[in-house]
Formats: sequence, C-alpha cells, structure tokens
Amino acid sequence: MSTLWTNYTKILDMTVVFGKILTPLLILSSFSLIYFSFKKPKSKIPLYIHASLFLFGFIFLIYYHYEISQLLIKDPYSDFYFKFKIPLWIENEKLYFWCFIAVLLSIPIKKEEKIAVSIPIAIFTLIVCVYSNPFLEPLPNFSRELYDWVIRSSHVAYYNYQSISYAYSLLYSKAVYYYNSSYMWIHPPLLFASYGALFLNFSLSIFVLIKEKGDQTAISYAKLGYLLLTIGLLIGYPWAIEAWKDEKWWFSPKINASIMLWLFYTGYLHLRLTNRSNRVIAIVAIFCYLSLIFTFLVSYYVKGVHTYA
Amino acid sequence: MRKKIYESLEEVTFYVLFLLGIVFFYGVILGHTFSVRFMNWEQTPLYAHYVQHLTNLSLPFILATVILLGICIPKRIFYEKIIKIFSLILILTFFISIYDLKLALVSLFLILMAIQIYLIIALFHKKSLFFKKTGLTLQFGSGLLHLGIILFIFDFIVFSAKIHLMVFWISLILITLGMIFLFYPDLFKIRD
Repeated sequence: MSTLWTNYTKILDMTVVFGKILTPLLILSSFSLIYFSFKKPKSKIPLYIHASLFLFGFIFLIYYHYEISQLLIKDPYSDFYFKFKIPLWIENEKLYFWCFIAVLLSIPIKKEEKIAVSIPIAIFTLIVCVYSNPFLEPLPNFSRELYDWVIRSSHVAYYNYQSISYAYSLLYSKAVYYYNSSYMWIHPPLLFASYGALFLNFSLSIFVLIKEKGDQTAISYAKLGYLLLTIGLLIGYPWAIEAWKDEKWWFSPKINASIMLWLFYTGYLHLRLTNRSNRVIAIVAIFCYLSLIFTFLVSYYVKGVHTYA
Repeated sequence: MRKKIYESLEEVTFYVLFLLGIVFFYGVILGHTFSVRFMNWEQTPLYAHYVQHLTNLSLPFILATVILLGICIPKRIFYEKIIKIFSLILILTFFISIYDLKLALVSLFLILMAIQIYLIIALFHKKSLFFKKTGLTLQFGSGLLHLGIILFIFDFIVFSAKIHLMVFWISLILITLGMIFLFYPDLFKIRD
C-alpha cells in the first residue's frame, strides 16, 4: 500500500485514540449537565466544563485537518499534485459543529434560564457521541474516496491509463468544487452556526411552554439564527450557479426545503410582532425547528443535486 | 389605528409565508416521489412539468408577498393615501402586464425601490413616518432590509442579464446590514 495511505491511516488512528478519551468525557459531562440542572440549577460551571471539552475537541479537529492538508495527492503520470483542504463541518463533523456552536452560544444565558438549554444540550451531545462521532469514525466518505484512489494508483500495472487518469480527475474535481471550495468555508458554517442558535431558540420555546418565561431570550437567539441562516442561504446561491451550471437544481428537494425553512422563520419573526400570546409564538418556534430537522434530513433521504441519498 | 393595521399586516404576512412554505414542502415530497418512481427523472420532460407545476402553485403566494411588501413600505410614509397609491401601482402594473408581465414586474419593483429609498432618506430628515418601534437605527435597518429583499426578488427578473450577480451581491449586503441594524440597534447609535 502507498505511503499516502500509510500516512493517512496514522492520522486516522491518532484521531480514534483521541476520540476514545474525549467521548467518555463528553458523555460524563452531559450527564453532569442533567444532574446539576436539578441539583444546582443556577450553577454555570457544568456548562463551562462542557464548552471546554467541545472546544478541546474542535482544536483537535483543526489539527487533524491540518495533518490531512499536508498529504500530497500525486498524479502517477505527471508531476502534478494537489492537497485537500477539508473544512471542519462535513460528514460526522456537522452535528459536532452544530452542537459546539449551541454550547458556545448558551454560555451568556441568564442563570435562571440555564436549565432550559442545559438538558437539551446534554441530549444533543449524547446523540453526537453515539450517532455522529467525528473522532471515533472520522470522515468515512472521504476515507472511502481516498482509499479507492490509493488502490488504483498503487496498481498502475493492473488498471489502464484511462481508468487511472479518470479516477484522478474525479478526485481532483471533487477537491476543487467541494472539499477545497472557498464557499465550503462560508456557506455550511454559517448554516450550522444558525442551526446552533435556532436550537437554543427551540429549547427556550419549550421552556416558555412549561414555565411561561424566557420568551425574550428565545427571540434573541431566533434573531441571531435567522441572520446567520439568511446570509448562509444567500451565499449558497452564487455557489450553486458556479458549481451546478450543468445540473438541474431549480426546485431541487434540498433547495425547496431550505426556502421552506427560511419562510417559516420569517413568518415566525413577523408573528412575534403581533399581539399573539407567548405560548402561540413558542409553538410556532417549535414547529419551525422541526422543519429545520426535516431540512437537514432531506440531504440524507431525498435524492437531488444537493443530497447524499 | 395604525398599530392595528400593522398587526393585521404582520399576521397576514405570517400566513402568506407559511402557506408558501407549505408549497415548498409539497415540492420536496413531489420531487422525492418522482425520484423514487422514475430513474433519472430530471433528464425527462417530467422535470419541466414539475418546475412549471411548482411555479404555478407558488406564484400567487409570491405575488401576495410582493403586494404585502408594496403595502408595508409606503404605509410608513403616506398612511392616509396608502390605498390610493397602492391601488394606482397595481392598476398600472395590471395594464402593463397585459402586454408584458416582465415589464410589469420590473416597473412594480422599480416603484417599490424608489419608495423604499425615499423612506430611508426621509428617516434622516425627521419626516412624519410611522414605525411600530422607535429608534432611528432600528428603522434604518428595517428600511435597508426591505430594500435588500426587493432587490433580491428583482434579481430573479434580471436573471439572464449581466447585472444579475451584481444585483445579488448588493441585495446581500443590504439584507445583512439591515438585519444587523434592525436586530442589534443598541450596538449602533446613529442619531435618535
């Protein structure tokens, strides 16, 4: 097997070892968040510890991606090579980044409203640890694509020239239009940051329904989330024109779902200006967040240019 | 009285946007159904029918949104004449649309843009404008945001023109600045 794959697997192994240390700590911290929400509801220390663990993990992700960016992907028939500059919010890292932003944004919350966000954050963290752990199963799709290429390039005698050149050009175009695209550093992080803020809006809306307080904090998170969501979605528009010039993306499922999501939140922000009760506004906010989850899942279950289904 | 008009407009805006959202939800379900039943359906005439079908369904709500924007913007300047002015715009648009729908939309958007720009300028000259919330920063943000949205919808009309992407970037800047001023007025004290 080539040195490229050997070096890559070394990075992967290091990440898995790190994951085996961080994951139990995150799980423990999640349970402590739930426990202290009832035992010491006004103490913010468990939230700070949780945020520190997430930050620690994110710093490791930066390092891990930096190591990948040092690998050279060489064309076996020429001197040409390229590197992958993989963003920090793809594949299993999406949910981690989403939760990380939610945790960071929850830090300035008032002590009496802390319980409204700490339990949902703990549950979200547990979901990330179990179903979308970026450390225990790092970049599965990218690894598969790289492995396919490594197999072909290390058996030059077995595969013909066209086959290998075609595989290289596919990998290169994936790097240019997806992994290394400058839009990948703007469009997805803005959206996941908005999802993080809207997650807190959702959590506080449930709190409004139960305790009938926290509505102003919920709205402030909705405003932040909506600002990021709008910019994030709009930034995707010129990118779509550039990257999908030969594809049929008009009314594609993910685009439809994203516009739907934006319309619902725009409607929600208009509704709060009316004399409707806080309960009604909270119910609409919860509905909007369910539509956000639907939009996120569309990528995985509905076929289209913007999806993995 | 003005407050009541505001609230009913906001409520109507909410319903129109929600219904339009439901149309897009239906689009997801329909697109999914086609992709499951027909292989490579996007390469068949079915795709053109699908796009046309969704356009037909969404158009009344998009027009309703444009009309609401049309009412929302001038109501701050000419409350007494709001219905007359808006009716005039609609009648003009209707007559132009008989000959050319695109021209009608372009003229409607140009009128809306002109009114919105006037509104933003008028804000700084203490004209008797009505906003539900006080504070120049917030009102300035609202003005920029609405102008940005008008420009963004206008951008679809000039999709094939060279200015298309330039219009888009201007609208993005206006929307972003508008939201920042509207949502976080305390960060910027323009002049109250």
